[in-house]
Amino acid sequence: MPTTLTINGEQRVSSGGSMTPLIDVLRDEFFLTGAKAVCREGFCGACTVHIDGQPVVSCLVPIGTVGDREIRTVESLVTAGEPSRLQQVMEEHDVVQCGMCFPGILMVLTGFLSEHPRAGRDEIKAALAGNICRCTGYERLVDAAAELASRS
Amino acid sequence: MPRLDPSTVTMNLPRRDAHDKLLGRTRYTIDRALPRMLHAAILRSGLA
Repeated sequence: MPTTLTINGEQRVSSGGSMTPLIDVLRDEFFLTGAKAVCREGFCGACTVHIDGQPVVSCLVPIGTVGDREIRTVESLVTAGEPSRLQQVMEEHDVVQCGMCFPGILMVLTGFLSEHPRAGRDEIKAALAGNICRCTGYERLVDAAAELASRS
Repeated sequence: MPRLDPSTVTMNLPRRDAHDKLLGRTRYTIDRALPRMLHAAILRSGLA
């Protein structure tokens, strides 16, 4: 049975079954390949998207459970061609290495900083506990997020 | 031969791939899908 989803503000119809993981529908059906299916066990955080504004690992979400929710992916962080302030500060701080973990990290930090705009380094580190970066570029990305938080 | 001053040969250039990666629009190999693309998987024997 087709499932209607609201993704980045658009209604999309998936032909996947209700138990299909959201990450597979995003990537394989709608070609929103920003989110990465890396571990597929909810461990690495690379597939994180927002569901009703909350960061969630999309590999563990069956699409049948999110038909009436608002799904947002990393592709939605750009507004009218302008990267978000978080994306800008990450670029300024030269944080990106291989980039596989970044879609997830951006979604986690976007959600976290909207709720804790003045967060300190320790809180930012704790928020990123579910995101693995195999380039081990944690320090610079925490620096970048902390600077953004210090500006607000 | 005179020693080179490292500061004259080191360039701090912006990463040219960072912007697209931050926007989630970089196409990694695993992100590519082409018409009529074939897929392969390894099925290992359940017997030794």
